Amino acid sequence: MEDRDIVALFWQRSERAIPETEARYGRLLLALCRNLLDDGRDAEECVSDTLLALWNAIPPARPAPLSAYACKVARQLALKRRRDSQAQKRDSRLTLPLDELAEAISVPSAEENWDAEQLGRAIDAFLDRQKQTDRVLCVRRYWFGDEVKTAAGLLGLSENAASARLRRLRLRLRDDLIKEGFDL
Amino acid sequence: MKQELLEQAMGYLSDDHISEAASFRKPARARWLPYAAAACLCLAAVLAGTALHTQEKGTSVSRYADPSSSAAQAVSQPDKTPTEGAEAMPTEEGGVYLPPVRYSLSKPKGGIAADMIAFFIWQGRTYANHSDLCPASLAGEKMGTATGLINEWTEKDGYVDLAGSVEGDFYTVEGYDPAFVLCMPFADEQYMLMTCGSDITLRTGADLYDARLRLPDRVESAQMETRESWNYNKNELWDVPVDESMDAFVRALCESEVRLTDELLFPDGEYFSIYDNLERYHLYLTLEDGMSVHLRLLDGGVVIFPGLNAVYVTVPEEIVEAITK
Repeated sequence: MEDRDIVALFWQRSERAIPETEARYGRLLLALCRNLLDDGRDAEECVSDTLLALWNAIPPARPAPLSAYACKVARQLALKRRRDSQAQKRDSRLTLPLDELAEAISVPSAEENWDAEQLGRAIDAFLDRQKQTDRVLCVRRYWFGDEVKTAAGLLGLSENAASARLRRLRLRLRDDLIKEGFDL
Repeated sequence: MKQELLEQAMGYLSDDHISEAASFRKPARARWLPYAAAACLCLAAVLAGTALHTQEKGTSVSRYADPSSSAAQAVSQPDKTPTEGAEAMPTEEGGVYLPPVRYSLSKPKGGIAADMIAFFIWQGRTYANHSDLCPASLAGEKMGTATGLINEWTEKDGYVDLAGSVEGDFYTVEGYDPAFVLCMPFADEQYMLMTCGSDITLRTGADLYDARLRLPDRVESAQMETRESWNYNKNELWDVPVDESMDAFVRALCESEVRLTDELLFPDGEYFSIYDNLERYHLYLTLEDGMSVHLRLLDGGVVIFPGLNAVYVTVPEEIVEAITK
């Protein structure tokens, strides 16, 4: 079923919207949540919470594309669940990719108080200028939290090739942010 | 804190980027590709072996400059007007000039012995394959059709445009200078790279490794094997990390002075087999566009690109060690 048909089901308040969404995006959402959460059961619950959140949000929302909307909801819920449940235990899953990104672009300490939105918009604009393969690789690694091997497989690259591309992407991002006026 | 900031920042990525990454599917690959790849390797070994054989008999490129190619018309502006009967030579401005060269299937009186090398002539330039391949996606505009009419008995006047040891259509390689490299179909998804290493001036390694092969910042993966593995076709390759050490290696290739291989082959006027005595590794680079580049690493930091083996560059040994360790 296409996105617009699923969204139409949500608007009609048809309960079929839930299994149709799950059939179309369940695996993707579960993989995303598993990347962000240590516990597999937590990840499954997070997917259920996401479907419920979509039910509550649509209508009035009319997301297009539905995939991005569902993924954003799932990510927010997974990050919140992680913060709530594990207090300060470091999670190696998302921490590792974000650490490598933070190291490359020298994100400052708390005192310097960067604006997350400004940084996010700058990264988004940077991605606009990248080739599709690099862009998808970057988003899969640093937004979805995919292992390098997983993201490489998705793109038909070797793990080494994906690592090399990510390293160059980080360097280019750093240069780009400096040009945009970020004090790195 | 850094992690939280980045988590939040990444939350501002646009729906388009997330949707694109969520739904991305790699293109399906043909099932026969592994067999084609194996066939490519076989051909590569044969071609490379032939090139080595040619080299080790002492027939370096510069010794057999082609006097018949003086009327050559370059695709792009040549670096220097071809000289009748010229030999490769250092230039006054530094670097070296490589004159037009001709491959010959007969005894090498006026060309390089090329029993099994695939080559053809186009616009007065000789393009030859030295084992490198590129994906079909890089094949660009069709430039002509090689007739394949040259054999062991072809007289000198038969070495005309479009003649060669292979026949078939040839194409530009997207993103590369057609005066330096063209390609011909080999298997459905692989093309043979045909390089032209003549009528050019190379001042630094950048003239080859940056301007023509475009290595900087584009190496995506690398593999290496020992001279022994290559020589006996053992195929004992290992992955080389593409990291700062590889960046430094590529930088050093570009910054190095280009010198004539003859200096190594005939150090005291007598032939010395640098490949038998000095070669240590073969390095295979894959660039982000799928282009493959094969390099031969010799003692003393000497690096030779087989597609242009009349010249070499020298890289600091510690930089080579960093990628070979």
